Amino acid sequence: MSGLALESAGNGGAFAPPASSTDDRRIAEAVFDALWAGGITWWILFWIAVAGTLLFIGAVTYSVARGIGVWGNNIPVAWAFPIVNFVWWIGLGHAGTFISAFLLLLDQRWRSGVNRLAETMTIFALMNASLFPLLHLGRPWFSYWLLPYPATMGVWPNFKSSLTWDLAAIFSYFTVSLLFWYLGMIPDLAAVRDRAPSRKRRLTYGIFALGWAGSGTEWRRRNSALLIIAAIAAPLVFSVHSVVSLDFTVAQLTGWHETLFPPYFVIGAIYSGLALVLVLSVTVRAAYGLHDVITETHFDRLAKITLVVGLLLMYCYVVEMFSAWYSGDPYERAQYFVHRWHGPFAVIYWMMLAMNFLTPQLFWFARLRRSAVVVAIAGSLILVAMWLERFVIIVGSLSRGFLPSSWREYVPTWVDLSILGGSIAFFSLLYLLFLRFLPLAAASELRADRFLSSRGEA
Amino acid sequence: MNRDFITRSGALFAEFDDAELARRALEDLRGRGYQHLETFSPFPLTKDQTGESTSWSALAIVVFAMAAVGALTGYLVQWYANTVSYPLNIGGRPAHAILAFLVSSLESLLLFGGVATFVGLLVALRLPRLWRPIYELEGFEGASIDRYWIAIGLDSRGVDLARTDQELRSMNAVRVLHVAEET
Repeated sequence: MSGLALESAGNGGAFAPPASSTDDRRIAEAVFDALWAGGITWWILFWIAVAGTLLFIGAVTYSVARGIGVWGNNIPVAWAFPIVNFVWWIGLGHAGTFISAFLLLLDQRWRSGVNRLAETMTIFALMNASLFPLLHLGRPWFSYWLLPYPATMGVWPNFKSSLTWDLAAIFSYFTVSLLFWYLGMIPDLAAVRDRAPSRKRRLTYGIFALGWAGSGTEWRRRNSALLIIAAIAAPLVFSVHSVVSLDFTVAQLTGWHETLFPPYFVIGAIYSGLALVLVLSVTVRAAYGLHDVITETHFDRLAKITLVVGLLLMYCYVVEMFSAWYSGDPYERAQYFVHRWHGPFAVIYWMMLAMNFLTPQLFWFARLRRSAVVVAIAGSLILVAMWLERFVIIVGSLSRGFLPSSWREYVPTWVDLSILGGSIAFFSLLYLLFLRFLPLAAASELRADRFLSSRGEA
Repeated sequence: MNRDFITRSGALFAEFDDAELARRALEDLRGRGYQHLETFSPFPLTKDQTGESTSWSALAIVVFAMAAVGALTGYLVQWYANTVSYPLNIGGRPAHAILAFLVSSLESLLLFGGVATFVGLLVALRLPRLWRPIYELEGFEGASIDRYWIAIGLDSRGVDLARTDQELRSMNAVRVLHVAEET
């Protein structure tokens, strides 16, 4: 196109310019100001995360090179740290899509302050989670055997196994979450493209912005598509952790063989994920001074959801124990009332129960829900407690099976601990890079909410 | 409107520096009977642009169809692999295990539906494009930051260039550009 007839600037006229949009513009600017802004603190955290990631890579390489005998796993505790970590990470990956998709579908507009933080957390947590089952295979280079491809040997995966369901569930969930996250970010990437100071950045962000121009048609269709993806992601949130729980329930083992497991696992997953959202939103808010983007109202509402989900989890604990008692089965009763209460991992069990039960009770009080410090500490405690919960379920149950002659304790090795710590560092590294290079809140949604609500339309 | 609203007879692009002004201008222009109107803005300017009040049924149909294809594909792969090609007898359970196959079928239903939504959107919007004609407009980069543009397609009957230009300026447009396609 050429032949532009350029004319510029008229002024004056019957329309007096109202000073309406300064507030929403300032909020959007705060989001974009955080880009590429990393002080000394960012670099210190970055290098710590890099060091931890190197430890992760080192420990994984060592495990692959030497074999998984370097872990503490034994028989009967064949599923130990790797599966505990897997379930923990994948649980953390639930709140992002839960917050984004459900709150979008329920027209909860306050979500726009924290949804990007939560969705990004989901993506990175899933990346971490998916590593663990592959490592646990022992020979991860054969992991493609899990896929249904026409092999010359003529074998296929067994689709009656819950482990192959897991693969399908996680793959679908990751893909849809990624598309949901990306689709939500395209207008913000276009905004970064048009603000970028150098050609290289304009080009890079321009490629990922896909040529977005913000036309009315684009907004209308993109937002409709976002709603459809949210509606697809919502059942995925429930299906993924339900399927993960089926990995356990299909076994006969006491402590695993329960019909309660799918909802129980989904609730636990959302609970731990919400805790991580609380921790991340407090941290990011303080680090970047985003007090108008992430407000105390966000903490208040997230804490309320956490309280409700925490109480649901307590209900699951009670039902689990009641079922064990009501079954009359001596092995069930022994698992819940002897081994868990007095067994080798009793300390972990009671710590888990205390932290998971007591922490959310803080959120009955409005003042505590709105306090960044309280919310962050509570979130951290829940994160730890939820890791311990998976340890109790997996290691605790396996080490005390039906035959007393097969009972065996479990002690993790330094490799197990390095992989756990390293995976947290890897997550932190990815998250730090996200904070530096991508818009950390949905600026366009924040502005639209304010603009439309000021007109009484939202 | 496949060339970003720049039709054969051209278009007028008006820039506003305030969202509220742009909205008022849009309503005003609609009231004056302009047919081919489009906005370019950093966030949805009207309720219908948020996608909530209007449904986009064409996409919904495509997504539904692809989700059905996904469910069927998922089921057929499992059925062929475990029933026809390599049946495994584990404890005498049926090789064609309908309930067991439903789990992965649901996942592939959702996967195909999700991907179809995304791809369908890109196809409908003719994205991705690295360059678009409107990027050449002076100051258009502000449309993703803090400027609000309204485009009027000139192929609609009864558009008098000079009069429309004047109308836009009276609505406080900070800039009015006339774009014509080179012939």
